[in-house]
Amino acid sequence: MVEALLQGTATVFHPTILIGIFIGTVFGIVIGIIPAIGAMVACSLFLPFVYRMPPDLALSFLVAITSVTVTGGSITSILLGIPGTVPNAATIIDGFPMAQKGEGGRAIGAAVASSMFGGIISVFFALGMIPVIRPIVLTFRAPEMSMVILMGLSFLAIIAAGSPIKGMISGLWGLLLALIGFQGLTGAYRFTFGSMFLSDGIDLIAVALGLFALAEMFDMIVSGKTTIAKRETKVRMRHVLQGVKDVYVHKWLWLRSSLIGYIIGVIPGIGGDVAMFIAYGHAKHTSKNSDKFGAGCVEGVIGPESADNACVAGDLLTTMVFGIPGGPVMAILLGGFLLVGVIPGPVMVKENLPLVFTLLIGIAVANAIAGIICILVAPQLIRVASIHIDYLFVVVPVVVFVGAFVTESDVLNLIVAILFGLLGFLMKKFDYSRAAFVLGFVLGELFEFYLSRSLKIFGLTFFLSPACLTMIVIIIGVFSYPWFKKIVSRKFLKGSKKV
Amino acid sequence: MKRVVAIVSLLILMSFLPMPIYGKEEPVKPAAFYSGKTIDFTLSEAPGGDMDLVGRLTGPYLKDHTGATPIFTNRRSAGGVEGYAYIYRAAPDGLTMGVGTTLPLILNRITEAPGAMYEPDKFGYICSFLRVRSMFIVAANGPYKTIADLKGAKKLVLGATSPQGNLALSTMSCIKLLDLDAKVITGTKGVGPLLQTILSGEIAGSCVPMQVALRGIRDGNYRALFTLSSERFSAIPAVPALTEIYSIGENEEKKELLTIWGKHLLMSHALITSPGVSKEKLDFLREIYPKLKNSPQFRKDIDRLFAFHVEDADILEGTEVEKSVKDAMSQAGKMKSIFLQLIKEYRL
Repeated sequence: MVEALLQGTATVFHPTILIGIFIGTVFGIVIGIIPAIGAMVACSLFLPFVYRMPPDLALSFLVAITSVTVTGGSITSILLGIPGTVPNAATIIDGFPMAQKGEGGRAIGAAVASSMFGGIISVFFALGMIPVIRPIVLTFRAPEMSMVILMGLSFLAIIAAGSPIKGMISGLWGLLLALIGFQGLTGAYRFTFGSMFLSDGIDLIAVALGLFALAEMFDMIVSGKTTIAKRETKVRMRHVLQGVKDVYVHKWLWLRSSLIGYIIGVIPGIGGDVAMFIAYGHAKHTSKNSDKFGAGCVEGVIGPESADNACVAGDLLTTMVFGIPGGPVMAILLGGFLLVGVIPGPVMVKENLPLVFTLLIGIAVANAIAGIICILVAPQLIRVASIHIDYLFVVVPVVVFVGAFVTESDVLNLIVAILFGLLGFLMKKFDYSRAAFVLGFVLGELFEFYLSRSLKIFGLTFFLSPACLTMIVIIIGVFSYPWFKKIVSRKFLKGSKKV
Repeated sequence: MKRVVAIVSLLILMSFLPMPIYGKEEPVKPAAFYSGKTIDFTLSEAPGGDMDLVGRLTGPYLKDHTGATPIFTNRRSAGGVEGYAYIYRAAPDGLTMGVGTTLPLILNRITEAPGAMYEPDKFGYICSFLRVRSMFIVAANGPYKTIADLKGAKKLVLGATSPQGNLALSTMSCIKLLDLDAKVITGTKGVGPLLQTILSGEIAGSCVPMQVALRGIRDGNYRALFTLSSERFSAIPAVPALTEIYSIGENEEKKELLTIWGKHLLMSHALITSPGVSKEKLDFLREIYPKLKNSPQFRKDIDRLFAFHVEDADILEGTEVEKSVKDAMSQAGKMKSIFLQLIKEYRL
């Protein structure tokens, strides 16, 4: 194993592979910055170009793209309030208000550093987990998945910046809208009105782009704002480095969120969107400054951004160990594996272990390169927040419409984006959480699927498996932690006063 | 003045003279027609799937053969129905093509899936890249090692993707043929998650396409119990055909069901174009078949993609595919009643 690790590491640092990773990283960042064109579109675009390349080069290149798109996406989310990739929607909640306050540099520094270190540490988690991943992943059946998603759903009230009740209402609306379309368990088409467009439900990317990007544009027009940043500040490198320092200050939050991201990445079928929202909810739930969340709190950026890049290593490891893709992006990557003649699965782990290490370490290298590039260019990028609305109003809708169109190649998604833009504007005006809506939308279909499946296969007592009961205890523990901490510190204070 | 009017009238009349020449279409050879144009190429599957990849692999060969550049678009809504319907509705100019799996194309129509507003036998079939067969698989480390184990089990839960899809219908057919005490739970999005549920023990097994099963069988994750056909599959000759190891006796219903899967429902990944494309163009497009079949690079690419050697016999000419689809559609009424009954009886 040590020999394979050394061989895999040496391959990563071979000049050709390193160049491949570098190019992949640059593409990944650029694609992440362009709204909604995430890793999935990027990988499918590059697949035809890689199939004649040597496997280690082709796969390192694809893995590099996949690993860093969310890092690029965080920049667009913070500066323009547009989710660069769907998971970045969670970063908007606090990142965008920071940019509005003139703290865009700090927010980007925090986002990039937490993404970079999250991506790197997750590789160590993955390397340590190779021998035990199989039994862990196989523990997650429909009942256990229901519990994970339930945990995500229980953050609905927490992630809302204002009233928890309004957060719940937003989340439940998101959940209800997620039920539109074909239901695989029954074969029923719900609320599709015979339309093929609605048969697979409403497109998440169009929803997220409308709710955040277009809604901000409408808001800027109505409120008469001329720029995103309320005050113009000359951004220097030290502002960006302040954000990097923030990650060090909140190192435990970074570590916990990275772990959350990694674990959710390992579990097939959940994905980065959920990881980021759970990490955000966790950050808010455990922070001393939870009342400042939603108004531009740096911890609200560190939490989700640590989780997103950490997800990739977990997702990739599961795909390589089982030969079964953990999510849509990994499905494309699996196609890439097959095209270059590598068959992921237990045989690959046994017979091609150096390649497994090459790809995992490649993730760490890609994250490091992406972090350095983004930190270096951040002071220039932040000027975007000071661009006059006249220019933004030309660029943003075009970018949003291209993003909404490109994934499904359907013009009706432009109408969806506009409708959700109007809805997002109203939600912002009346203080209903858009992030909670997106979380409900992301989790709604998953929760319904796993819960119904659990009930059908295992009956009403589905939650009585040891793994499920453990997860219930974890959920209770997570939610009672702040109260427990408060009680302990109160007792401790009382005790010290007596002394 | 009169002279001016006369000259103008004459000029106007003369201007109409060349019209018959303009109106008459110059017969264009298909090779010249395609040269420099773009082909709207539909992939009726999500990026990364077998059909998506095989479609993209064909791109350079299609460009070499026709001179037209294919532009790929994934139209995958409703289990690919969107893509098939799109190709069906397109103008019959031969510039709209796609890759489709014939079995879902037929089954969606037979079971009247929403949006399946097409007649499968009307498409133009150019060629097929792979004849696909279904295999019944279980987890290698699970409790079921033989058909007898399955038959002895009570309240088995088997799995599939869409309730009316080919995985569900083939798995339900296995239940019927083997008289299993089992139901099928559907709804997993794609074959990947379905395989995961077999491995975790959530479901006992399923009927899946052979190329997907093969990778997992070689990895030691799954055990194939039989192929749902009357012949073995050359890549894993050790796995018997259902008819070899199990006698269904004199039951007419079962015989009919087995005939449907063994004879009428032959599944293949095919290159298709819209209905009504002229014979000349279709014949020209079909000339790509020997080029693909005899191209060592293409053969190497698809062998690598499917992870087994695709035999010559599994790469079919367009006329053969067309014939098999027509044959299946001739049994549409009978199949519909059988399949709807299966869904009613065996869906959990």
